[in-house]
Amino acid sequence: MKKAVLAVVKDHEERAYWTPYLRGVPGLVGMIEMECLADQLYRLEKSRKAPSLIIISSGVYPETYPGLVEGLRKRYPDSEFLLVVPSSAPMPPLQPVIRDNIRHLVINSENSRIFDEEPESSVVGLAIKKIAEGGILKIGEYLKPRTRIHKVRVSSSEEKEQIIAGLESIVPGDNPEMELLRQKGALLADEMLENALYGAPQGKDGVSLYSKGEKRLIPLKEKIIFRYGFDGEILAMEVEDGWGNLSPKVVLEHLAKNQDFALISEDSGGRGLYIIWRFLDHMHIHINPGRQTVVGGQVKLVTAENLADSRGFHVTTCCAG
Amino acid sequence: MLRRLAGIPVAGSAQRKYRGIEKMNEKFIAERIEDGRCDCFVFRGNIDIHAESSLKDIPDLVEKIIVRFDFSQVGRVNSMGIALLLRCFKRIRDERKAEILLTGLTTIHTMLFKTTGVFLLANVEG
Repeated sequence: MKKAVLAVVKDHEERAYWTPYLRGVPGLVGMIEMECLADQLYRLEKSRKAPSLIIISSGVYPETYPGLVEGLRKRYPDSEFLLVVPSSAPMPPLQPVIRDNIRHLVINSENSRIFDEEPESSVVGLAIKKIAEGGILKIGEYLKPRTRIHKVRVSSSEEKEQIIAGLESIVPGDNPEMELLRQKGALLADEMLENALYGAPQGKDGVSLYSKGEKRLIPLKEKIIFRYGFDGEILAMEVEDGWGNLSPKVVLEHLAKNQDFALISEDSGGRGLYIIWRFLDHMHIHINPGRQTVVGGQVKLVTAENLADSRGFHVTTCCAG
Repeated sequence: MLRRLAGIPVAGSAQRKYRGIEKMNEKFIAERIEDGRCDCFVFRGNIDIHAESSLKDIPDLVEKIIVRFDFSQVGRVNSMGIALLLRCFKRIRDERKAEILLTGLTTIHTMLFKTTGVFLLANVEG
């Protein structure tokens, strides 16, 4: 069967909203309004096309048609699902997203456009391209072409402050906006490095091998690499470790649990990951189980002061998506 | 009267001024200030795992019904720091039955505390 990308929207208004972002997506066989879904799926199957990616608008899922993804997944078990949310819509609840194993969520705020160019260059466009290609998001793709990517191989836990100072030094200027972006960047780098240094190393029983704050040298095979870049508008960063101990399900459970204050305690696990998610405009995680985890994303200067906005994520594994 | 609780400042790599004080790449210090009306604590430095011993002692020092924490000289607060603050504030509220007020918060502290539920236990003064 030929590969195809399918988008499911609520009605013609939603179709009009998403069209500029989705036109030009390779393999897009159509944007289907809910009332035509059954007919369109029948036609798709007659033409021997199976969607490798199904884009679902938050106008139809999870609240309006909660069983939609479950039904589509039964029909297309190998498809990836991407939930797209306009900035004007509320953040969808994460529990159904976890239940239905949706690993990609993009908030399409106006500010999420990467270079203020065409809609296709938005985070939505980038996410779709990556999922359709089966590729891995890299921080250079968030940044303007020819932006320098700094790369630091971490050899000791004692280097953390020096690395953070390096990141701060590439965000120049003393105005409040730059200062806030710099502080956000420092916090994100702190959390990413702490996770790589103390969260990722685990024994077979899942117990952490090192205590927080413990001074440690990093063996070469552990391979902790921190990358970052700033193009004047967007600060992007990611940390790579050689463990691959996270799973998409655990990532989403950490986000959902920490989002609900009623469920958290002072010792709540995954708080670092949750902070990373909330302070980035868009978070990407790539997991090669047992071998590598990459956690990263981007934050834009103009959104640095905005906490109320919903946040997207993009979780891929080596074997799918 | 100032009383240092724990922690030794680390000399060194401050790069720039931050709100009029040197940027804080330093270990955490908590100082208690005697005040007739409330128990006051001034925090300095980053709040992370290294703040554990200082923050653990604070609830036992609380005597009054209002406790004020001054964050104006605090740099980064990471997820471990949040866990320690939540634990400290919870004990003050539950065991000492005291109200907790926070002062001197930066924008990023405020964003972080909103995100992680710290403001369920403590209020911003004023």
